[in-house]
Amino acid sequence: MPGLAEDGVSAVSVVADIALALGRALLLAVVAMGICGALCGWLAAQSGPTRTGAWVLLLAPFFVPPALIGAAFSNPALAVSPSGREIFYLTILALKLVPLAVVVRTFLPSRLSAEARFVFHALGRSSWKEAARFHLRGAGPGLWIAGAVVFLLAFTESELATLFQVRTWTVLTEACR
Amino acid sequence: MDTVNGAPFAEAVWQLDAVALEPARLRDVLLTIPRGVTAVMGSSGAGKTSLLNVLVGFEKPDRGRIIGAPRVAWVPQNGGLWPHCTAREHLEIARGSTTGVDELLAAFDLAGRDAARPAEMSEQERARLAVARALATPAEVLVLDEPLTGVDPAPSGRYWDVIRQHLARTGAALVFSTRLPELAISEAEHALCLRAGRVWHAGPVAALYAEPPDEELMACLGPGNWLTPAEARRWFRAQITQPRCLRPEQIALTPVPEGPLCVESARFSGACAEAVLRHVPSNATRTFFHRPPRAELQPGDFVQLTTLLSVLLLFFLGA
Repeated sequence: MPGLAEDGVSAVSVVADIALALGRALLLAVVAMGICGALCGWLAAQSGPTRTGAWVLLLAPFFVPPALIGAAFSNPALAVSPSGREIFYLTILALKLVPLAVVVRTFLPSRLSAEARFVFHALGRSSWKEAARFHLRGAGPGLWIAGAVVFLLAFTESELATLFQVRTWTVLTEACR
Repeated sequence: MDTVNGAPFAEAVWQLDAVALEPARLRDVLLTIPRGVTAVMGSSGAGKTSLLNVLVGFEKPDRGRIIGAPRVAWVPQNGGLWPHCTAREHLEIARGSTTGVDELLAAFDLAGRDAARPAEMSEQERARLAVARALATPAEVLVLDEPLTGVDPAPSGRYWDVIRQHLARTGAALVFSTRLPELAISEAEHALCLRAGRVWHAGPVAALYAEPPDEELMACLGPGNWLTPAEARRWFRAQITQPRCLRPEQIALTPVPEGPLCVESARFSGACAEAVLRHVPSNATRTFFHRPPRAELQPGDFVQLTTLLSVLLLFFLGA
């Protein structure tokens, strides 16, 4: 029964692709959650043209059409190994999605004031685990919403994945065909 | 070893060398913060908070250097409380254990509010919790930015007792900013007056209270009567060569049947009274601050201005 055997291979492949996409989305969400607070703080500290310029630079990748990104980067991306292509894809995806997390955090800032954070760090006793738990508890809903937005968009992304030919559940790979 | 004004640095908590914070928040601050209790004073915008922020490292100076890096417990102006933590958690995190937390909560009247988060507390409770958290740390220096602001004056004295006992027990130094002259007088050994981001005066509180260098600095520690030699001659019939300050408790206004000084108006506010006197021969008027036991002057009364014996001696010795 050749058809049945091929279907079985496809099902395993889709599960693997979903797992890969989940892992990728989770990684991007964690990275975005980790750096969006610092980026928000840095942007808030800027003023005048520097601030405007920083926002423009930050948001520009999000508004660039995927076809344009593909045209610019797909050839060099396809020229490298699959793992190199994966890193390339993750980097481009991070550049597009982290700004969204920054926007979410700008409108839903941390409940911890800069002073409150400083007072905690000045204690100087906490392990990184305690510090991470403290900040996750104190950050408020904005951090989780930012992470969720990045996770969902990364998980459902298909256009760049197609252009870079990376494995993900939203793109039919050779194995699925 | 670094030295501070020729003395070993060990005697100081911090030394600031031409520290500047833009835009014009601190301007070339050259300063030594000694051990003990230092009150940072100045009007709004003088640079008190900026100075404390720089001392604790919350803000980095644009120029200059700071010598000294003691372990600091900081109470920022907004309290810097952790919104997701209860009062008890604040103290346990600060202390690193549960030891002594109940005592601190009780000392700041927060025993019944130990499960409350900052959002569920009143402004006064938050102010007390911020100070209690600072006391829970093993800091070498407490830096308090207008501590216990908004706390009722009566219990505030008790909380300052707790702070004082903590300093005596741990040997920690205290640097606090305040706009309350009476607090600086009662709690601090050293006064640091700022004006427009610059150090205006630094020295012992007692000296600033008794012999302020000028009239504006006199006002930093509450009401006083600044007398030029001409005024001393007119109002006290005393000879002095240099302008001097007489604090309210150093003068007395005694009613007399007739005399050259007539009361224009008098206002009694408990701790200090304000009397506007008219010098009848010259028709000059001026306000005097004094400390009578009760309100006793009425407009139209004639009075005699006298100084306490010790001050009188000072007058003549200084003359």
